[in-house]
Amino acid sequence: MSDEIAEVLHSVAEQTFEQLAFLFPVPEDMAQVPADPESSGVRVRFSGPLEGELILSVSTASLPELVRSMLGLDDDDAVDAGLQHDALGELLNVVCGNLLPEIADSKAVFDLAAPELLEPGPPDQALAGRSPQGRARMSLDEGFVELILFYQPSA
Amino acid sequence: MPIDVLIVDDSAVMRAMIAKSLKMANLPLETIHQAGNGVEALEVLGRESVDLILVDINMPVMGGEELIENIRENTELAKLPIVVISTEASDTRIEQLEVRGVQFIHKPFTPEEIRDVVGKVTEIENE
Repeated sequence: MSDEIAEVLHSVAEQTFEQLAFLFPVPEDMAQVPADPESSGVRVRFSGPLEGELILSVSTASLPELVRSMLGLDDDDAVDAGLQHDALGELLNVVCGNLLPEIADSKAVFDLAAPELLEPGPPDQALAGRSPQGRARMSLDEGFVELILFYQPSA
Repeated sequence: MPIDVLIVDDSAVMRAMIAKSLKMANLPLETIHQAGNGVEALEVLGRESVDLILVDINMPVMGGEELIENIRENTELAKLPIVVISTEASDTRIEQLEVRGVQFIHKPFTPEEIRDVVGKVTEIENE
């Protein structure tokens, strides 16, 4: 796992959460801060000069606030599960779209598949025994955000 | 003069965010139509008058590039201002879009970016 990739993940995630959700995630040391077992995750697969997947996992308790913030809703506005998952998928799309040129180059053309919702649970369950090339955890007011990146050069 | 806008994105959250940004940009808006993919967008264009299209690229059923091609080949719609709002960051792909006469806004965006690009393509003077 690369520290350089972790830094890029932090930077892209911070920019995305700030500009889309007006939230300010703070990078955390994964060795010191445990993951949230009550998390909701989405995965996007990508192909191009690199192929792989990026997973975004967010504390389930943070999701309603995240959506309200993205849409400028009041605290007592209801936000259904469909909207929460939509928001998660869109955040992941934006992070991935901005991440790939940083780890490949600006001329590279990538194709992103549609985001897939994962089973709720701790971020580690998305690893499925694999070692990611990059991983970053950040804290929000009400929970955590985690990004996990797997990639390899295309055959 | 107020404009009718069509927002095309498969994410309901993103469509709402773009609509919110359009309103925050103080643009003179008449109606905001929405569509979840290119096919739905063509249905809206077939029955409504639209002055501006804001479109994502990666969508199921019919994506943004195919929708743009359809619009540019339709004599009634060919001159419609189109702005692509996408995570697409490849210089190559962006150039391919711009030669079709579309403007490009990269996600994440600010209301100011929306205002500047929309103002430019619709020739609305910014206040």
